[in-house]
Amino acid sequence: MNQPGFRGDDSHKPCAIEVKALSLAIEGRTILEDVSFNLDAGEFLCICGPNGAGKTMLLKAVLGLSKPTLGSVSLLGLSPREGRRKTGYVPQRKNFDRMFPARVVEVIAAHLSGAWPLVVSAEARDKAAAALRIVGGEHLLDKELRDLSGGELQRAFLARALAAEPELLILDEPMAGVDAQGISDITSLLDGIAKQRRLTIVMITHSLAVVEHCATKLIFMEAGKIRAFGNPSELLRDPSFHELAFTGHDHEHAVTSGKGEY
Amino acid sequence: MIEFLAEILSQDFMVRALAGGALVGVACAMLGVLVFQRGITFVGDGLAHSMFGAAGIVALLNIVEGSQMVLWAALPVNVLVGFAMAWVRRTGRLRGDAAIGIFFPIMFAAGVLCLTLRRNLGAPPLNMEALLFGSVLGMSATDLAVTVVGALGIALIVLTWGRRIAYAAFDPDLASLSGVRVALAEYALFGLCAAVVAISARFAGVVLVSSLLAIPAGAAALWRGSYGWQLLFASIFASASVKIGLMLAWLIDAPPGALIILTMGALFLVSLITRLLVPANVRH
Repeated sequence: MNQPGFRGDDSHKPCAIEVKALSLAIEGRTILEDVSFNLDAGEFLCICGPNGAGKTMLLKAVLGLSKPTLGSVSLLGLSPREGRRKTGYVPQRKNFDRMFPARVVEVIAAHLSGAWPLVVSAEARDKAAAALRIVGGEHLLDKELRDLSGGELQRAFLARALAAEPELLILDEPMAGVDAQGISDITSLLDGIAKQRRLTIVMITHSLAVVEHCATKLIFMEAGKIRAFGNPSELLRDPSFHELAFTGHDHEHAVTSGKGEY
Repeated sequence: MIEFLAEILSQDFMVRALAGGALVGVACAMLGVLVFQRGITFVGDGLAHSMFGAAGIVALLNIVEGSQMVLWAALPVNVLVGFAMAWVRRTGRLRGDAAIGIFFPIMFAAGVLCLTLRRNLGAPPLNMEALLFGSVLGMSATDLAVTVVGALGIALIVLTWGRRIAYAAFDPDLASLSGVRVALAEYALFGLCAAVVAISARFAGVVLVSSLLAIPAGAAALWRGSYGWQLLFASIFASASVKIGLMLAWLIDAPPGALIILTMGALFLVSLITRLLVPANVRH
């Protein structure tokens, strides 16, 4: 029997993400077309594909940040608006306003309380410090966001995503702007978190090494459609996917920022 | 100095102007910080001038009598104009201040037309100069009471719910993921601006209100202070400017509104020069 948040097969594992016949168009241009997949809780899904394949828009639709033209999304058994409260998200482009007076501790405290802090409470400060410790960025606590390097910014946003102890972590090219040692650290960190906490992780990446190290499920996207979805060990046997999806590194532009419009 | 202060405080209208002016200044300055961080500083100017149109529409409809009542009745109309500006911005077809720039002249022209039609219909004339330039020293006890309640209400909203608007100004997507309703935040920001303009216009006039929204927040943003620190800085800046401006106006017998704005300008310059002399890594 189908229950909200559960697959309709024999596994009876809780379903973290359920996407049904999702299509999305912006100003007449098709971005996503008939995308469907289910992801069980505890899986580590990597989404790969060339630029413009619709990977980021798929994640935004899953989070309810972009409204689909057709289809439906269930996030942790809830609507995207409700489910995203239990979800940590690291965006590809950091669109925060660089003129806004934001320290890392304030960004994390704002995420915890849902409002920008006038003064950061001791409890929020402790949680922010603990989350930064996990990602190896404790020294960033009182730094201003606009002063951080690309790699430091990624660690700060990763800590922000982890601070609220999410059930699901969605990461859009989290290795962008991070040096080789940092990529190795973050990859090990995410792999460890996924296994220890049974956290479901969805990550867009262009790195074959990251996929091989972390992924338990893999999606290849092209031109707004899912070309393949399954176990990485099986899909990676097809050499055409390698050429299609892996450039070896995530995009440097991911750490640029601009003024967000809402 | 003490004699000078005693002389000023012996005048009831000056006491009302100092108290009401400082509160209006604080409410405008706090909201100004939000507006500044959202990157729509022009909204104060736009909604201040659209207040003229809102008052003109209310005057033509002839639902209340007297210029004071017309200004109060124009409050909901101006809030609706604020919502309309927010709606046009939210369609995503216009960036930045464009929607504000479009409504501003339309509402001003509507005000001129409505007041002309009202005069042609033979209705008694209204003192609209008070709206444009304010009447800082002409505040009655009733005006003061209403202004105090309105200004305190807006300051309270900025300190509480306004923190969600601030989060949305930082990054709308991240704020949305943390549970902030960013569309509501946008409408609320424009609505609050329209309300503070309507509440303050009677006292300060549209020119002074828009400068109270812009200059203290701009001075606060010069410093690397937290959002909370900027609210405090802008509030003290505006409150001090109003008091100094009013005292200077008393001293040299000049228009108080103009002197308050010039005081803010002078303090902004001092703040800018001081900021340039202080090392960039100092944070408050």
